[in-house]
Amino acid sequence: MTFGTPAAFQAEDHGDCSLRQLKPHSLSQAMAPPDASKAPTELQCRMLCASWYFSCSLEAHIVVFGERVKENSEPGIMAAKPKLYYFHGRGRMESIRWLLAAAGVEFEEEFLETREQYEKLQKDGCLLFGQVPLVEVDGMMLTQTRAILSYLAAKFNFYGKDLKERVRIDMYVDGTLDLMAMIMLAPFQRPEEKQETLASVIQKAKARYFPVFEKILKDHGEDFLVGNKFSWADIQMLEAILMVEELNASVLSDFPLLKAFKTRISNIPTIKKFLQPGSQRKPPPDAHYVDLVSNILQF
Amino acid sequence: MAGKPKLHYFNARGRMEPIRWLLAAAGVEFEEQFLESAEDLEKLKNDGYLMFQQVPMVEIDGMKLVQSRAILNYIASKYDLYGKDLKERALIDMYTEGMADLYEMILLLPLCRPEEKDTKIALIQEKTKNRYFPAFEKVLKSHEQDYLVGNKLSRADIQLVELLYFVEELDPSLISSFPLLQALKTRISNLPTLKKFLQPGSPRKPPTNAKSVEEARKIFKF
Repeated sequence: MTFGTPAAFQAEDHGDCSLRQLKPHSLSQAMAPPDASKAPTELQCRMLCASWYFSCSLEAHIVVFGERVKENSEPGIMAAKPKLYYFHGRGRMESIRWLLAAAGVEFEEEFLETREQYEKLQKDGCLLFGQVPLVEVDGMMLTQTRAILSYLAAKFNFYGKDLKERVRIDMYVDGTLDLMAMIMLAPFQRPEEKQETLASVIQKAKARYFPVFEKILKDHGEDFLVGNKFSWADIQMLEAILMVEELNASVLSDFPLLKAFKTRISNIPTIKKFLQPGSQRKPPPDAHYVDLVSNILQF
Repeated sequence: MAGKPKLHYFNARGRMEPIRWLLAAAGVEFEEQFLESAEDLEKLKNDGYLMFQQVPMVEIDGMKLVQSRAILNYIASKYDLYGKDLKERALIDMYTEGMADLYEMILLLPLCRPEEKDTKIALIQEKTKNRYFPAFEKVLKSHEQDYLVGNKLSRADIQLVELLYFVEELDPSLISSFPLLQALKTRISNLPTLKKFLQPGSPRKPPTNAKSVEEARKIFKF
């Protein structure tokens, strides 16, 4: 892998976002000797950042847009918890939370509560297209929901065993995400449009999407959608089923295999834990959430 | 039984065009079956060929693939246009998803109401100039290489250049302050497979006109 030089960024950026965003304790993990007894102050962190940034040694952090990789890193140092930057609500981040939770991976969250916070992320150069979701993972500042989901799915072995399984997972997930996108849009629409959208969701779920997955389960008679193994397709499907059921509790009445699937996947220990109160799963959007997002994104 | 891939769509760019570009760039010959009527679409649905009752659909390697992202992912992987490892793939995905967002805005322009058109065009111009083109120019500037990711041709380059042509058709001035994007466009256009695709007589489809929109409305009933 080739890397860009820090110099390319110094001229344009006001500091490297990925370094500045780190809290003191996690920065000390990345840079200080492992037995540092005291977390450095923020000022010390910034000075460390600056000296790292300008250093030409092989130990210097080398930055390519959206990516920070430490050469000669010790094993385990790069394995910080993934960090999610989003609003305190489902939106486009929820599917990412599901995937991390299903993999049993702990993650941190920074919630955007003001326009200022959002603009700071943009100014710091963290957001390639100026948008969230943003996930800091494995030294990268990843944006674009699908890019993040695909990366995590592959990393956690939720993406099938070969290209043919992967394309099936992609097809199923894309169909499911199309359905979920409608649900995500609804709270931001005017009341008349919203009613229409929600009615369309139920209709499409029952006529277009659920029959497909019911048939897939029927045809192979296996516990999981693809390759007889738990995958991203199953996680996405469960999330979608639960979201549609929140709109219409009886939507699975004609789909016995999906009902059984729902129970089965919900009982997987990591998923079961995520479905319990106190987890990082977020509630359905309410008026407060809609206002918050509208204000921060200014629409 | 490895026949040519077969593309099912109507005779226009729409959501199939990026797939045509990728196959062409990879030097893969393909066939096309054009939907010409609502009945043609009904037949495909009734024959059970369309998983979610939608096109694009591509017959390839014994499968009937739907969902343009899934299709593009498959083709990119198969023809080694998807980076060398997971991290490169994540960068490629991040870039192409951003491209898809801008592409979608331009794609849907012919379908918007006449009174909304000027506002939508202004929005596209603003986002192109302030959000998307600066992002890709910055990526190219950061490593000063010929390709967006990993110093090697990938779907990100092909899809970006398609987008650059698409934007140029709308407003040729938008690319003027982005020298590296201009250079990438020239460089990628000169790759033998794409050079051929950009010439008349190739499977590349012309810009969407009112007639195409009418045809789409008729076939897809909207």
